[in-house]
Amino acid sequence: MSVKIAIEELAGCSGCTIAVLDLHEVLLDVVDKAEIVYSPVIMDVKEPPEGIDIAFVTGAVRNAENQERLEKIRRRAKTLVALGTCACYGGISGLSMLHPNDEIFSYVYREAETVKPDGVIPTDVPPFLYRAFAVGDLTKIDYYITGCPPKEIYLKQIIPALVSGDKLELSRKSVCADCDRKMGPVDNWRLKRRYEGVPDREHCLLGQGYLCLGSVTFGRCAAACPKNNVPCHGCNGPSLDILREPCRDIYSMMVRRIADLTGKPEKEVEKELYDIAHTMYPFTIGSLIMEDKEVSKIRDLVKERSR
Amino acid sequence: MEIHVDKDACVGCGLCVKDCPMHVYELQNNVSVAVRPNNCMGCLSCHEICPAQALEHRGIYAAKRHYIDIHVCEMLKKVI
Repeated sequence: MSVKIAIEELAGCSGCTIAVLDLHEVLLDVVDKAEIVYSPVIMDVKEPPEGIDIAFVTGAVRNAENQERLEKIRRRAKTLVALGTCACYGGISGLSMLHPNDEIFSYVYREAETVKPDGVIPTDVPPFLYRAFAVGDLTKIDYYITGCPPKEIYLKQIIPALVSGDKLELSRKSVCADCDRKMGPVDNWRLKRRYEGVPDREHCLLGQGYLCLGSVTFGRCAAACPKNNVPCHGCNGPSLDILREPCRDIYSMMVRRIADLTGKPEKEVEKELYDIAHTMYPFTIGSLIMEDKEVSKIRDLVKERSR
Repeated sequence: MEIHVDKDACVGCGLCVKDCPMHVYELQNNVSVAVRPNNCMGCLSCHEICPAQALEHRGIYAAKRHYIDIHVCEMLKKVI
């Protein structure tokens, strides 16, 4: 009997579902053993059927409809997998918490260039919840696959293993572990914005002054961005040591590492950092688990901006 | 103390050399080597600072020092 797979969409961009299609020819091996019975992005089915074996849920929970859909797919699936960083940590959708609801509605229905000229804000759309949630904050999740989107090289190993019920050992280190740049102490360090200059290919981007989150980010990308001269944005979510330790947080560990690399006092480093919400927490701000750490800045950021 | 350095993961930044209060590490050919493992007092400050999570102390786990949220434990086990 073939394994029944479903892919549910919540508050996200559907990129994670497209990442599943990016399995390319491996997809043929997967559909040999499994059948995709529900996925609003790739097929015309309106509701998830009963008796799903593996359901992937992509996107964060931001409104009442997302929550209802999450609960329904949980009831109908034996195994529920959070696919992608929005599902695991709230992702980009979580950034919506930095604005009050009326501001978001006003922008979406009145100010964006593509809106209808009547400027009417509809009243029949699902209401927002009071905050964004990662799916694991609201229901029991069996596995988490992070990445924005999860990268093909890993999904090619993970999805066939999930379907056949095999065990899989993948690296559990940070992005730096896969990066080939040289890291070392630096003098006269100064924070640079991404548009300033062109980073040299040999040395650590953080040491060169670019805010590269590689050392605090889970390595599920083979360091694709740093290898192409782009500082890490942290799209795979926090590295597992940061997730595990109550006293470690993305922001505090970044400050500490910059201070150690440059010999600058932490307070001085903190003065140079800007827009913490978008530079440090763009992918994790919607996660209760990350917010609940005592050292996390997320609570203050949300409180300050969502008024 | 048995200290294992993952040579492939190590980026040679030397932060563990600088951070270790007991001078356990030295950089050799741009890779950290635990030259005085017997000095180690198991504080794991090197784990905290290592950007590549290249260090492993057999039998010592950083998390045992702190109370950890049960939701975090549940999630940790399930990340693939």
